[in-house]
Amino acid sequence: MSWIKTILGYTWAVLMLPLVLVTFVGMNGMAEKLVVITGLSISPWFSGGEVIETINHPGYQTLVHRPVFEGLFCERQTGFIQIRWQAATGSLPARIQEEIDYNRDGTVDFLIKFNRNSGKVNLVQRNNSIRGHEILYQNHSELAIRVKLLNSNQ
Amino acid sequence: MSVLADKPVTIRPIKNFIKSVLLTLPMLLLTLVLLTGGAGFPTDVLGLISFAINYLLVNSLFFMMIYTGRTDSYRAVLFVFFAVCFIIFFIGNLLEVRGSMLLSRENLFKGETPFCHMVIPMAIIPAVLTRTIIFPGSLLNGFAAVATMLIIWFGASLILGRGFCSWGCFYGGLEDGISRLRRKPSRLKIDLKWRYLPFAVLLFIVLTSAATLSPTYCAWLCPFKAVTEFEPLSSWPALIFTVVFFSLFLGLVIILPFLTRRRTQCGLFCPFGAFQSLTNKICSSEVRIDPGRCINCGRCIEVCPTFSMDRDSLAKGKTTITCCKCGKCIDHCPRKAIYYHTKGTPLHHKTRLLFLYPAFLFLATFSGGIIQKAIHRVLLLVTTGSMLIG
Repeated sequence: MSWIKTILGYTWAVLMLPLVLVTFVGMNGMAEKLVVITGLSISPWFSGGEVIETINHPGYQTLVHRPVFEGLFCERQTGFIQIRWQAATGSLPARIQEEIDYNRDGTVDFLIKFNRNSGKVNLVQRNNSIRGHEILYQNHSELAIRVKLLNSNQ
Repeated sequence: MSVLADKPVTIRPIKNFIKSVLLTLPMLLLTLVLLTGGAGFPTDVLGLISFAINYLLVNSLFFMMIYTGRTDSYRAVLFVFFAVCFIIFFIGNLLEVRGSMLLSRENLFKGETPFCHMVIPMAIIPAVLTRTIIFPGSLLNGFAAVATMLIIWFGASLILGRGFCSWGCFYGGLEDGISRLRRKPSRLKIDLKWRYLPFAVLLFIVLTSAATLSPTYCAWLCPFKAVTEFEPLSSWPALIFTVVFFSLFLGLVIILPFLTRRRTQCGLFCPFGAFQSLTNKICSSEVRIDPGRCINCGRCIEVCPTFSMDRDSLAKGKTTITCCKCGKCIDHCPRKAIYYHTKGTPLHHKTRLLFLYPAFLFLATFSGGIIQKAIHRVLLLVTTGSMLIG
């Protein structure tokens, strides 16, 4: 049995050199396959989750992400919905206003107003699940806000 | 008798030189392929000079490893140089892309953070249970994309196991360099029990990361934030964390390695090192001690930078699981009783090259692009007064 272990040991060790080549030469292709096979994605707590609706306005568009409540084993009691505004060219308008129906029940859940000059957000709640907001980042052409939500399924 | 004794003195160095040249030829060829990426030589003069310096440095060091039979002395030159170049390259890159080392919320939430191997142990449980990576980076795009780094880590675990800490980790090189600045260590003694602390840190960060779905080591504890990127000091928590990062960096990466001549961050704190000790089980190589030759002088215990040798391990003929395969004990053993060994094979001394070729090629390739770009930046600084490209 020891000679089998010896052969396997040497074979494994010899294979390490080609493995270096495979690792570095094929890393980009293998990385793409890894993502496809495993279905991995960046956590929505960082990425904001998938965009579920794009609302086009003259000169800019509003991107509404899906509500995020993901936990390790089950959904969390609190989460958020991320909304981004992007200027098509140049800057965002001085005032932005958007009505959002995040749970898709046909009624507006909150109204969000942003004044670019003052940098202030005004959130008008139409649903008890809304728990405030947070500006993620803003510059002349882009604005991202997270509206904190209470999970109504919990 | 004198004639017989003289002959080897003149012939052996020549034979050894020729043998070393022949054994370096495959490395010359392999590094040429991997450092050019199969895309040919750089076309600009500074790029070509950077490539040439790196190529010659790497292969000279490998030749010296073969010629002298010493591993750690020459490995450390490349490893430390890699760490210094990484900082030059990384900070230069941040200044070009962002204009500062600060990590803004925009960078964070747009997924513009380079992925670091330290995140991997924290990411595994959430990745398995939620199929998401708890890091604000990009899966496939940009510098140090998540999936690419995962592939490199998997390869490194098979090829090097815990040896990644001495043959791949650009952070480890900093401490390795600083731990060599003093000739003799101070009288400060660190109890060997502390070498198991990284396993506790690993458990803590794995559990807290799974609970919070965020990489807690990066957010709370990483000493290397001090030389890479950190959040603006716009709030009290940010200020406290920055104090923590800089304190750990000064204590574990600068002061203690300088005083003790040991890699204290790697040996006493780093959770990724502890994680690699576990993946080391699938690696083919290890460091062994020949009890028949060992005279128990304790020199290996004295010089081991990661606290991986003690009297018990010597008696067992093995290092502890924290061994980074740096080769320092092998170089310092007066009886040549310590050696690289291929697992599963009989214990003898002839498998050094089976470890050395893949390990060195990994280091040369992994560091290659970064060293070249760092040299390029330094040359730019000298010739134009700015190290920024464009």
